Amino acid sequence: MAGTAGAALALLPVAASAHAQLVGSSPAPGAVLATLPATVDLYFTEPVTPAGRGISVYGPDGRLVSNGTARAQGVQLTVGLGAAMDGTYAVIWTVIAADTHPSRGEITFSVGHSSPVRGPGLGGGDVGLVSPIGLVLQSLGRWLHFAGFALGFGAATYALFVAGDPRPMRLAGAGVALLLVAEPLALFAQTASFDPAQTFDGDALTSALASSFGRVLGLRVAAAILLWAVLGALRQAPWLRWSIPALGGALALVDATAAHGTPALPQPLGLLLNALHVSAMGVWVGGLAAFAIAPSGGFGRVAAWSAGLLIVSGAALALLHFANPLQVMTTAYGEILLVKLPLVGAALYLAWRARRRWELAALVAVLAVAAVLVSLPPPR
Amino acid sequence: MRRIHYAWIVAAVTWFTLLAAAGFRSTPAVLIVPLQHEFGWSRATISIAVSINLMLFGLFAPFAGGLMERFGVRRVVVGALLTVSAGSGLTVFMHQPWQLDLLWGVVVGVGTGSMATVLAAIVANRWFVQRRGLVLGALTAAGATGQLIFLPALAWLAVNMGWRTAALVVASAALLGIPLVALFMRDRPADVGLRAYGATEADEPAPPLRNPVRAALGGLAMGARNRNFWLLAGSFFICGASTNGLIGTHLIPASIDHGMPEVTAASMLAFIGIFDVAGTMISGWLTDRLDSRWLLFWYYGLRGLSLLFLPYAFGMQYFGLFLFIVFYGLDWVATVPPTVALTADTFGRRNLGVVYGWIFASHQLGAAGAAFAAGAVRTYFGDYQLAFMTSGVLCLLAAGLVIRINRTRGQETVAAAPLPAASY
Repeated sequence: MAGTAGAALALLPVAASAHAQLVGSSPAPGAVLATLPATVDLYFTEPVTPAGRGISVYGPDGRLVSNGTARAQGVQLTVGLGAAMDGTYAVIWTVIAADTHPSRGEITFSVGHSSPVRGPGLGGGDVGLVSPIGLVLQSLGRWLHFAGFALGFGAATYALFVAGDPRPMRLAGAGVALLLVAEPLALFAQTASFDPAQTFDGDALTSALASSFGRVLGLRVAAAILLWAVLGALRQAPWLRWSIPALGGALALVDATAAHGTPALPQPLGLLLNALHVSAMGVWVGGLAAFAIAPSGGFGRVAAWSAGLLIVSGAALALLHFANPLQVMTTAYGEILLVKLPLVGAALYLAWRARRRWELAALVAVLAVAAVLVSLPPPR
Repeated sequence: MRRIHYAWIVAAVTWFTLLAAAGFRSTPAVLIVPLQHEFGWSRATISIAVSINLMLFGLFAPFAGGLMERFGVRRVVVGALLTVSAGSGLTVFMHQPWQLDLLWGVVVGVGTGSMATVLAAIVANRWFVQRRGLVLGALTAAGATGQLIFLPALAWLAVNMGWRTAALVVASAALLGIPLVALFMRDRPADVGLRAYGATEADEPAPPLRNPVRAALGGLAMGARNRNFWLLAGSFFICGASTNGLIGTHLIPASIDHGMPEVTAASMLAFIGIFDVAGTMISGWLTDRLDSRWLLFWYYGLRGLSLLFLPYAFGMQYFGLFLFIVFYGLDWVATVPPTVALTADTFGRRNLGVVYGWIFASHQLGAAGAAFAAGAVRTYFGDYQLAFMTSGVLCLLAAGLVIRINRTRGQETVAAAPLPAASY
């Protein structure tokens, strides 16, 4: 099973870093032209697919003047224009990066003279290239996903391999439920990130599902359902327990394809590093929750190893995402990371003092911050 | 040398009947275009008849089970062959769309539905104790193969001799089957003074004669009270949705969408059919030896994974699709023998016909639902990705459902010899 998932993963087109950002456009932002060009061309940091129309251009009278859906060609996105009016045009772009992250933005240019910008606009207040409500929903969805991953795979692995006690297995069922709540939430987060008013719009939802995001979402739901199926089969076939950590690893790899890429590393290495980070998290957090139900002396060593792996892989990922140390202070990503580090420190301290309940609380908080972090564009 | 057990003769007659019934059922597929040319009816209009045909093929199954209990297998099959023959023959005179709906939809749908998978289940369970799964596998494979092997010949007839010739050939084939069935088919081993093949004790007594409609509805009531019924019907709904409904109807257009020539795409489906024969026979053989729940668990699990793989397979062109065809083809209807075995385990062999009839109706509802839904998804999304991934996830769900089936018998069943599957 894990082998098949791995083979499927090898086929995923994952390139570049994360969160497509606009690096250039024709016409340039703020340009004042003599005549309206035939097309608007946008250039991004990485290959993109249009979400919805991809590019919507609104004329000085507030009417949509772009023709249909934008065409994507690698990092370039193009749409034709059909209008002839002097004044300021608003260009709103909505794209999905290869790693499934949504992003949007707005530029303006003028023909003849500038005029007040009409058209719907983005409402302002964008954080990390998406609408604020979209960011909140994305973070919430990822938080539930992380928690579900930890309970579903981590707690079951602890129960089967460390404690040898079936009691924590009900946590695994709860983990499946959390995962199945998290994935639809992620879908609505995707549509809300582009336009909160279209969160439940049929076209927006279908467009999201038909994209690379839809594929990853399908694989995540599949992993949760497969875990549920294996949990049912365990009573009759104890040897199947090996498939639970294997399936967890496969899901961590799926998650890695939708996590921030690391352009400094070869792609498979970056994926493995990300998957390792998520897996170690699952073993530590899920094991801790299961420990509360069925304590076992073996947990200390497992927790120490997974915490160690977690910190080493996390540190490597953090270093790879910053081009220079100053970015820790100047980007939203850096600031959130500064919130995460003391929380991780607190969790480690509580682990060392064996205050298991507080340790778990601290880790749940770390997961929440990590969920925000993954939803923001990294500096690199 | 020992004489051949009469059970094998009954199995052979049933095998030919199922092969023919499947061929009759699938005939409208090759008539769509000729009818469109002659009468100028739209594809949607003609599709209504095909949908009615598909739905009745499934929904009539429990009533066919009831009819076979009341009137006997031989009479029901002879009646069904007459019905198909009349329905197919009369189409020669039609000139209005409602006549097509009535003849190909209702009449042929009911006729073929009476001979389909319920017949296989009843014959295998009444006549065989040993080799039951193998026989069931062979009979089921005949039903699946019949839908594929006659199509080229019928299409050739329709193109070169006109669709009326094709319809008349079907009508005569059904008529020719009648003497074969009337001469050799027997209802129960006791009718020829035998025990079921491999049986060590006398068969369950024939149940008292019941009103077929009441028997069918009684079977539903009995099933609805049992958790296993819902687990089996739910997983079989998914089975129908992910085979006949989705792949059977939409793999060819999806492949054409991805730039494959139509003939190549159609041959892919034929290859699925070939792997399916092997897969279903092996599945029947395994059902005689292993726990049916585990077989279904692996069938659904592998089918789910291969469907999840399909959107990526289109990206790899032929090699990826070949992998898909092998994995997917091997368990196209391999799910039937274990599902029948589990139904017999839970409800006893005397109730198998009607209860399995309802479970099969659920299969056809899934097929009809998925055929429609996948078409809608294609129209709306411009791509089948969502349809394939959803069915993949549903198959994994089915794997989780079947493994939760409880093997202890329900209270409604009479004590009977344990099935081979239960002796594992």
